[in-house]
Amino acid sequence: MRITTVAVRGLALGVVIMATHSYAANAVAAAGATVIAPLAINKSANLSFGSFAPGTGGSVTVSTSGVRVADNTILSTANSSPTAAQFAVSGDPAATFDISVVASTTLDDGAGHSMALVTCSDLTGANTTSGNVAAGTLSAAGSQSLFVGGTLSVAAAQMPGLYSGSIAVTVEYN
Amino acid sequence: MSLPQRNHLRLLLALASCTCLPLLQAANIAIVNSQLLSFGKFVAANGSVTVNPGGTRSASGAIVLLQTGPGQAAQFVVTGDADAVYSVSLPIDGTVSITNGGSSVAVNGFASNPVSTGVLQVSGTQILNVGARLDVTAGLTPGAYSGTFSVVVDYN
Repeated sequence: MRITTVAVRGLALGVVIMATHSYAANAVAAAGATVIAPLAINKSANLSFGSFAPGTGGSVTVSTSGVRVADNTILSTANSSPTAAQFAVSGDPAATFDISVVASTTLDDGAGHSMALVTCSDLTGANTTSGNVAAGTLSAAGSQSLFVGGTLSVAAAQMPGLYSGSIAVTVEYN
Repeated sequence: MSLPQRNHLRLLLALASCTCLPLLQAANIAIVNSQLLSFGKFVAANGSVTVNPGGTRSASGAIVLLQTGPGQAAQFVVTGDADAVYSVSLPIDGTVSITNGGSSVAVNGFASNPVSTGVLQVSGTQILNVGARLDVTAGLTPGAYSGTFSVVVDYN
């Protein structure tokens, strides 16, 4: 009889341990995010076609490396230094981004005369004369250059003057 | 006590132990964090960045997500008794934020998979994934934000 009592006590003790045990478990996790500054783009050089005469009418092209080529126009080197436009894009290191260079625009002399401009662009100034770059990758330092050239359509009777316009370039992280 | 009586006692104590041991093992449920929750890289604007429990990231408003910082859902490993049903308790809105110096951004809308009740596998384990929504405002100071949150599991 005494033996049985001991055994029952042992069983009861076990049940009490189970009933007082807490089942819930908790884990802590880290949460994080990286907020980055918007992409920046700054112009460091303008696109310039220099001086030229219309000739029989044709075009003047400045490549992304600043090389100027005439097609039925007459180039002048006087007071003239053709350059490609250059932009500096800066942002998060190694980030990729979309580039949008306006495909065409118009230069005018402010007196009702104009010339059509078709743009071209690349990331390295590699003498590109047609087509626009659509994507880039920032360097490990978070920078990337962008070069823009173009082809200007010149009429045979193009009025002499100083023609100007602007080229819109947009960059955005992707 | 005679020898037969002692043997009888040992047998009964052994039986009592056998009865208690499985009950004690069943009482243990554990959860370990195995992957942090990350909202990745983005440019701030008014809106939100959501990482769902499956790890897919999306943004609202004018927030721009960067491919170079994709984000991920948190992952936990829950262990306990085979086939046991357990409940999942996630932080409620307004209780978690991540900070960078003096800047703070709220983490709300916690969601998990399994949603609110999990079932441990025959092996006694289950993966629990947790996502959330980061409520962002324009002009949030750029930088690395960090914080913590807790997940509680309990047998039903």
